Amino acid sequence: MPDSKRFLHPEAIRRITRLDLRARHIVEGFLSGMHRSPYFGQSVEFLQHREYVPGDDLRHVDWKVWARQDRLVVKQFEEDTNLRCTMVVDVSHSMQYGNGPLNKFEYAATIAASLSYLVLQQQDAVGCITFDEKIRMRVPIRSKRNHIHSVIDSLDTQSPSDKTDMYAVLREVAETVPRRGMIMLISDLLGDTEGTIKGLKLLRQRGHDILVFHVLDDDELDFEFNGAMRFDGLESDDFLNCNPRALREGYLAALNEFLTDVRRQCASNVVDYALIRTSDPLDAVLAKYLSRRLGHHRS
Amino acid sequence: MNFTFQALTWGFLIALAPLLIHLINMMRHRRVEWAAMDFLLASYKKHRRWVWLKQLLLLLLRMFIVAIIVAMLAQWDPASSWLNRFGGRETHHFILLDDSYSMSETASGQSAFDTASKIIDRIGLRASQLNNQRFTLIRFSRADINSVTATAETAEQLAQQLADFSGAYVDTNFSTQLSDRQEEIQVTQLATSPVAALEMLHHLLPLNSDQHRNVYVISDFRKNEWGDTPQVQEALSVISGESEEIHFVDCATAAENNLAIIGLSPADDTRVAGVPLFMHLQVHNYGKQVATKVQVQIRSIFHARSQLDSNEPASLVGQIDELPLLVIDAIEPGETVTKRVQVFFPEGGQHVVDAQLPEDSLLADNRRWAVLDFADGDHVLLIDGSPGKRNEYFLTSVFRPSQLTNTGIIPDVQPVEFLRDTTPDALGKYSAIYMMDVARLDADAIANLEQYVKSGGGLAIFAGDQMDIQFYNDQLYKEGQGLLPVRLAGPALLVPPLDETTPHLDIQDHPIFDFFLNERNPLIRRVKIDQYIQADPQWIPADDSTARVICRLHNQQPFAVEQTFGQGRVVSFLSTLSADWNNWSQDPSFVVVTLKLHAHLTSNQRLLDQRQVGSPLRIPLDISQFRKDVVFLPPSDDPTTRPIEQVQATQLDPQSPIMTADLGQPDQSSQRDKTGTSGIYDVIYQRTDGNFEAQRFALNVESHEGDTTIINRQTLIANLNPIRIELNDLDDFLGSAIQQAGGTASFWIMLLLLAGLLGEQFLAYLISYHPVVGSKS
Repeated sequence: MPDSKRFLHPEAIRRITRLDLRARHIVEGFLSGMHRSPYFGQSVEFLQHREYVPGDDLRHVDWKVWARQDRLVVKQFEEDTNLRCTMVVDVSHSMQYGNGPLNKFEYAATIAASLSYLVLQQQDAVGCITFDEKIRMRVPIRSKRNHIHSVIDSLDTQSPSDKTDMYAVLREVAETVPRRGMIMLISDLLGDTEGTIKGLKLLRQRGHDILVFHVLDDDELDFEFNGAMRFDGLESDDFLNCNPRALREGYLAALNEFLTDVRRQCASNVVDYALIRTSDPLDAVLAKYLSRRLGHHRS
Repeated sequence: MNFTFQALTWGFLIALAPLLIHLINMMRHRRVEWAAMDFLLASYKKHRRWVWLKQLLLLLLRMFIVAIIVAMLAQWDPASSWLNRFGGRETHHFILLDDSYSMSETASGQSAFDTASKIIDRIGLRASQLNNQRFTLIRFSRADINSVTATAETAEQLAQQLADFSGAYVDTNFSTQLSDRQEEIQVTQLATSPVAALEMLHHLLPLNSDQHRNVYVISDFRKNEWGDTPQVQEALSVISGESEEIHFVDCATAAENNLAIIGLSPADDTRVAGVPLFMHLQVHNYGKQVATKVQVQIRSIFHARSQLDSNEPASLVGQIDELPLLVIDAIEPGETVTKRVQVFFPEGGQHVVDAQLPEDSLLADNRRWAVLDFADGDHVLLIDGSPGKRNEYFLTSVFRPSQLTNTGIIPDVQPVEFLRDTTPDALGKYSAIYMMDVARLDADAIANLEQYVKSGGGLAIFAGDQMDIQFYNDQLYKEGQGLLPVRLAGPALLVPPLDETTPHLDIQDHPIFDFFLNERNPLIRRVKIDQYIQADPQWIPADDSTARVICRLHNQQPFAVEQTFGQGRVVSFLSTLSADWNNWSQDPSFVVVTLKLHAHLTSNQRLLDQRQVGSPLRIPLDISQFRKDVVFLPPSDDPTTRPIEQVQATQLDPQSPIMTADLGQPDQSSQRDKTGTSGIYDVIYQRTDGNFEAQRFALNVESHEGDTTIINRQTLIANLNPIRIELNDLDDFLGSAIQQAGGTASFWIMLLLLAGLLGEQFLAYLISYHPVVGSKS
């Protein structure tokens, strides 16, 4: 593993308490490792010079040419900002679970912040929506660099609570984000799977590209508990006294059935789906995003 | 449920520990707030019953395993309890205990009998921990010889009478009873065979056919008892068909040195007060190593008649004379060494000689006693029919050569008529009668002589020219039925041998002549016979006759002929005793032969009373001369404090003038222990006039029992084939008696435990209780 990526592991990220610094650290660390990547510069690549005409933004005047040749030209890039990206982050109570360095919510918030930072770095616009059973906070879509602070503030001030009503939330997102763009849903998707799929379909019908980051903890995926335990439902009043080893097989079967169903439904609705472990390095998530972004650009 | 260590059964409460731990664990659940409850609940719903069942099974299995471990620690015997629960049979332990004196052989401070006692203790202890157990203990020495001929009806009665335990029901106190009883059971000095005990058992086993019969033969399995004994094999083959198990439990020690005195007997010489007597001592080495510098301590105990003035033991303490220590240089293993020692008693009576070896592994055969009857004088009757009494001179010269030389023989010279005029009782005082050249005898004389010899007297007949040959043949020979052992033909001259070196006498192997036979003694070779009475050439002893020629002339004609007559002996010499027909009386060998002849003639009167330990003592008493009170004094280490057995003499036959007093009963093994100690038994009884008389007996151990050679196990099995026996040794019983008793059960319990543990692991694996590496706890 390259040294630069050593710092993208959750253990390392956890030490950075401020989310904005954390996002910057992740993105810059990621980019430093990706400078040879074909994705880099897709949206900021220099295309040509043209003669300055009044009304052009002076910021785009190439002053070096004026200095050498004494003529005013402006730089034209291959593509300007044309991506509107909305982070839809689950802040329900179930996201509070986590046994690793970061719980699911922290991991999701970090992902959202990092992606937002990256999106803004690429001159795209980003917005953020947090939700549980309803939308808790909404940050409008902007492309300004300092917009990252608004996004991060919206994530930083959240503490997971309450249940999830995914369909209601996604329907509201579909209604409130009229322009087509990219919706990045970061959630554990625990709850009403059918409602989730239904919501995603609705977003797709509105022409959004959807990227689902399915964040689950290692415990939830592996269920390697020992000894007598009492499980209390985070979003329900259910509890269970059991020996987890005895139920592991059945649990994993049910979980896999759920994951398979989600993955299949996403695929059938052209929704990009990525299962993320909270123990995974965060650059993997960024890589997934860029992969998706490339696909979006080419489309 | 039967357990060896009842106190440990409290440990079964530990079996509740898994349940307790389970409950505590349920209370100590680690709480986790869990998001994916739906999947967990779905799994729980799906597997709830199976998981619950497996958990219950696992819990029960763990409780079961703990219970099994506790049961093993508490020495559980499941077999009996299970059998009992399903109406199982009683178990009867028949124990045959070898208590012969070879079992007292000691090695490393422990005798074979000590080991046997411990084994019996263990068997009894185990039996006391089980239900429906019976116990029979029969000692070899107690098994009655009558049991061989006993019937089923009398067998149980005999067992009740003789056995230490006879079908005793074993309860929780039995172990104590057995220990108490065992303290009374001691090894005997008897040499007992297992046959009687096996026969007794043979009668007892069918009476208990509804029981599980275990037979234990506890012995040292010596070669001389178990080597080649068809009787043992026969008895065992019967028993094997009537018992479920036969155990041979070997208790033999590893001792390797045992010397035994196997003989202490007087030489066959005149036994008269004031005349020294040789004693023959035989020492046998039963050990496996050469015994060197063996010291034998010999004592003579002189009992003066005047000492006996009461029936107190102290009055019987004789005068002990320690003889010089006899040292035997070396005795090879298996070798018997015979030595002679001389004893001397100045006065007649019953005196004692005892010999003792140093201590070795087996003490009982280290000492031996002999009681010797010494007469004050040995009276002999000399009847000389020759005209000049030429014969009696020579005999008198031999018997009383001088005032200083005492042969103990007192000759009494009487005329021929004395035999006619005397009575048989009067003749009874003579130990022997010498009849020399007597022409003929009256009928009364012949009758007296015949009765005298029949009752044990000795008669020597010397020929001479006065003899009426016809009379001798008709009245004394009487076709082989009379006193004379040979039919006579008439006087004959002996033609000297051509070779002058050829002796005239061709002596045979006989006590009278053996002195000359085995030594190069030229004396008897110088005897010249000129004339003799020729035996009838047609004379051939009848088949039932005891007559035999003990010395022949060189022409093979009989010179001396011997026969027994009743209990006595007659020796007839066919030549004169005087120098008329030969020169023998002038030859030095004459003295030797005459003294030997006298010893031989009187040997029947000196039969050594050889008795073995355990044999009864019977004292016949004339009812008109003795009182009924008889005191028996068995041997004791301290002669002044001997135990006293007072017995009333009884008349077995009311018509008989004889009453008897017995110590021990013939053919009754239960009475054996009354005479079960080797040593000197004194019997004191009182005359009606108030005077005391004493009689003593020496009871010695049977010497062959000292042969402690152990039979090889393979040989034993081969000898007893096809009888199925289980050979056990010391370790089997002492090291793990309990395990042995329930060995098979323990094995199955162990298997059960193993299966339980494997089952627990398997079930726990199924329930996924086995920790996963890296898993969260």
